[in-house]
Amino acid sequence: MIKNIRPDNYQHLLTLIDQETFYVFAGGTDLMIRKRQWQGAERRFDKPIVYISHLRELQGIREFNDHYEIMACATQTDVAESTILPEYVKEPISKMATPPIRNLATIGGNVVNDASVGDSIPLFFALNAEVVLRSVHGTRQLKMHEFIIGKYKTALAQNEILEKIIVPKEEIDGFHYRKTGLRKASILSKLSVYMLYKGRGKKLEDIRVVVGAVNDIPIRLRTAEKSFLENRDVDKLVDAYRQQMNGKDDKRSTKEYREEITCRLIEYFLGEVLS
Amino acid sequence: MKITDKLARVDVRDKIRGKTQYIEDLSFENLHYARTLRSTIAKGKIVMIDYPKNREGIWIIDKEDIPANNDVAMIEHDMPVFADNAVNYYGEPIALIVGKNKDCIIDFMREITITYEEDTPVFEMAQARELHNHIFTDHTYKKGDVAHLAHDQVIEGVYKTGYQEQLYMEKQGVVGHLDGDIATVYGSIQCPYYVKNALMHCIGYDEDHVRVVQASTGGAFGGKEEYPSLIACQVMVAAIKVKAPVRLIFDRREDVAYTTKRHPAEMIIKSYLKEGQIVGMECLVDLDAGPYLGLSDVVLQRSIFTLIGCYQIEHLVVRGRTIKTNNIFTGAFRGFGAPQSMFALEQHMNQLAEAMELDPIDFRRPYFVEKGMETSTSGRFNEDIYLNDLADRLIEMSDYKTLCQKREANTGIGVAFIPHGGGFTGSGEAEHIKAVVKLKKRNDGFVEILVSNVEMGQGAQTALSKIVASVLDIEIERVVYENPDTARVPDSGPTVASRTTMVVGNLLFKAATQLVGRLEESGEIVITEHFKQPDYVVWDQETMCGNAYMAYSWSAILAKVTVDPITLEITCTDIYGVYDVGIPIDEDLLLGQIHGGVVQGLGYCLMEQMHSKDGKILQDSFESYTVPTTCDIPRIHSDWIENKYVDGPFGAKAVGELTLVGVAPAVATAVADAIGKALYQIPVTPEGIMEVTKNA
Amino acid sequence: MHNVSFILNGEAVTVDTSLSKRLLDVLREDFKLIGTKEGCGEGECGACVVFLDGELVNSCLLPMNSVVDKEVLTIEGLAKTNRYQEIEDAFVDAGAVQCGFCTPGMVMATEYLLNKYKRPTEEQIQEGLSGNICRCTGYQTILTAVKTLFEEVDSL
Repeated sequence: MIKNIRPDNYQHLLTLIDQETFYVFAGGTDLMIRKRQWQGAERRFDKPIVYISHLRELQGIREFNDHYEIMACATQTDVAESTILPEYVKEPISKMATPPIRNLATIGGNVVNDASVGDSIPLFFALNAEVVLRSVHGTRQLKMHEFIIGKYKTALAQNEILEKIIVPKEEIDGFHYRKTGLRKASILSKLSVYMLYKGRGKKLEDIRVVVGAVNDIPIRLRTAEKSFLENRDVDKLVDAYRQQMNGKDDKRSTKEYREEITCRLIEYFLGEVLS
Repeated sequence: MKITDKLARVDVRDKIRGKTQYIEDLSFENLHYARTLRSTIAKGKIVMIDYPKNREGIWIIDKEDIPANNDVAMIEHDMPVFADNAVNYYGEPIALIVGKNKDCIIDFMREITITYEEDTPVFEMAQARELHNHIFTDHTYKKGDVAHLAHDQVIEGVYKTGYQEQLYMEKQGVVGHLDGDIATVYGSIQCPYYVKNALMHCIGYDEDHVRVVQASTGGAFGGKEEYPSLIACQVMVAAIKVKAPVRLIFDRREDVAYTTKRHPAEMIIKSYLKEGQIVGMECLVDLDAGPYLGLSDVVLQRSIFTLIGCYQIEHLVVRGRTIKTNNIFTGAFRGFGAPQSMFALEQHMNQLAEAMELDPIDFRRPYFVEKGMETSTSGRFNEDIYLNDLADRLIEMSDYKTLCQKREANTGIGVAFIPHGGGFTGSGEAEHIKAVVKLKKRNDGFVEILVSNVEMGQGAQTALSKIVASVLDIEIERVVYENPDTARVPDSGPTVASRTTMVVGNLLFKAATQLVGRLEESGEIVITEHFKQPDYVVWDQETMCGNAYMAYSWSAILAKVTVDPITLEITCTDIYGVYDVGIPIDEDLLLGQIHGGVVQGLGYCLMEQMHSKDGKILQDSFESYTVPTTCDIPRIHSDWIENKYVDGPFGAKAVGELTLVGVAPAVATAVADAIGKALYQIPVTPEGIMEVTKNA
Repeated sequence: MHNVSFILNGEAVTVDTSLSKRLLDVLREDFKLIGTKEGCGEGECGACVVFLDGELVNSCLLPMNSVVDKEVLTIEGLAKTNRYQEIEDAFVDAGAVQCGFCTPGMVMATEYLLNKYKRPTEEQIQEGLSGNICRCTGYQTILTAVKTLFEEVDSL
């Protein structure tokens, strides 16, 4: 019989995961599919489960002077319909999955699961977001691109929980976001491009370009972004990203399509930003 | 009630509030559950199966338990109920593991090991065609003399279509139950008598000791036409051995991966032209049938008899083949071979028009068939045909002239003209089905319809009830039509081939006519009607000559698409359709068939990509096999003309499949128009568009 | 095994179950509420949607742990309300039901839209139902039914 534990409180959770290896179950929209089973039969989990979505400490979205905090168990709907978060955070989240999934799936789960098609991670890369990880021993804070190491591989230690995501308040004038899939709704991304900018045309001061779903982890090239601010050379930036792409042929799409269309979108968005 | 009255469907309020009982909602005492043990290779022999020693609470049901014949009675008897040492496709059923506790069954199955002696499977049709014994059937029919045709130009195209999964919302499910000495199967099924015949053959019981009851069915589209016969036999064998009711309901991924699908097809259409006129055509249709024949030859026949579509071509050679491979075995799906051959033909016609720089509708008109003309199989079109009127109405409805003149960037339009023969091919109705219907005036004043055709969402319960109520001019509430139970209903044939309204409905029309004026009589009256082949349907199955179908329905479709200039994503913005289905028995039911057929056809063309690799279906879930959502649908504009068919109830003809067939050809052509490149394959995807346009 | 207490269709209930058992299975097996269905078991088709504390969720993905002390509303519970009758009539009048398997889920999603919006755009209605797949109707009549339930729908 698998252990199913519902911790009484946050401290209890931290103690549990310090002592044993668990499946940490937030929304469960990924785990319940991975462990799918015959209708009516028990899900077979090969590790004990600890549930966290009921813990108060992990819920909510807060605004501070210089940053926002999205707690790990805030759902995708919480973010998409938030009255305090900016549009450039809400929009990509509002396009994930379907309404009933968004009502259950958590932001923390999407980040920790770290699938290549996880649509929240690219925007956190662009926003210079940081993660706060907590264990019985205290907290650590990592930049998102330090936390996301590879496909399904994060820097989360076995006894740590992702507590919250810190999104700095920045001066952003606008954003572009596009993802493509097999149909118009309920899609797993073949590719995505997320771009933030400050200033436009000649007054462009800041540009951030993140490619999602093509590689195992998002692609953001700060050096290329800096160069672009200096030389405004669209082709050069596109090339820099193209060099890093390692798209695959799979049951949804092809390497060629993913890489080519990503480049076209970057080019198009940059053109818009420069005009 | 009058046939032109508007009415609400008779079956819906219980469905809306979740009260309708589908197969998984029915209760049985001492119910046991079954799960299928499947082959994990595509071709070879089973050397040994190692079952766990502890079998407490577990029953293993396999070929050893079959009382009479280990094969599913279809046209051939080549498909076993349980694999008999040889396996021929990945996922082929070897046994049912049965018990009362699902967790125990899963534990047990995890410990099973099967040792195989693998053989070399064949997955490509191109390869299979060259091998000995890999062509199940090969038919050719001819007209005129193509071989000696004077011509000055030949235009040929090779066309391909892929798998399509029915993806009914309710998964396959059956319950087998030895009720006293009556072997009874309940199931989500289209054809109770197909299942009954299969059971009789498999377990060896006679017709008085086999009973099949349809449970309310959550969609079928052909996927529950022949397939349930296999699983019905399996659960019935299990129920006999276990001496308790046994239920088999598939997981969704299991259903997608291992049940019948639309046949992938490779087709060649070759036109011989003289001074810009088509004087002859040669066609070849190859269907991937998988390892067993099943209904593939019937699918093939409809595929080739629906050629040459709406056109009069004097000199013809049409050939079709069912190819044996070790891919999933394929079967019935709405359209039944016509979506494939009509995709090829209509693409070809549009490509010819393009080559000759003619408007695609103007190009077609001179070839449109008319009453009295010869069909492609040398029969005769016996009824009025209004293809020019359909074309005119389509042009008007879509503002075609403006569409053609004002070409918006990244937009394309495409047309297709499609016939669909109602009922079984040729003499099928008369020689194989021999439909019988009964209409009973009961003592309680109700009039009961006794047929074996099922309600599976298409509206059969409402349509047939409406026909009877209209003939008798009574309220629809006085008509009773329950889910068919072979213990109570005669064999009026399967719910397939768009025959339910046209053929069965007509028999009920005749039966009801005999009850007119008799409803006030005391006592029970039962009217029986037998199908009689109209004398204008003459068909020789040997030579494939004569009237392939009793009557045809027709459609004219126009699709409008936009292609995103950056991402190449395709959006179908509008579908215009004009239909000749005789008359609609009910306008809302007709609209339901139009909308549903359009969206399934759209999915077939653009979104429903299914590949098989090493015999395994790659897209086996709702997540990877993407059907249209509410955000993917076009605006649908539809209209119909009245063209009563003398042998249809109130003049009605076939509806259910016609509405799907024309969509993929029209949409694919529209995409080709938008990108300026001919397309030869569906599904049409952004990746595919990028491929064909990159060398431009 | 745990005693899980929650509110089901307005009534306080307790069920002895595993915390990881799916709400869908508990509803169908323990409470014999058959209106909620498994179409895919993976949260993709919407046939299993219920309300959890007023939020529309896929019950095939919901372990009983997530239901503890919460309120669950299924189609059977909704069917007792006046609003349900309006929805039912709208679906009947529009011809929005064919095989019926997706329909309870569509009704639940419709209720969700009615709670969420006063004056939705057509796009919002389509998006709101995008988690419910129908294979029979092609959606047109379902969208028509839903639109008639709003006093005004903005089309762009």
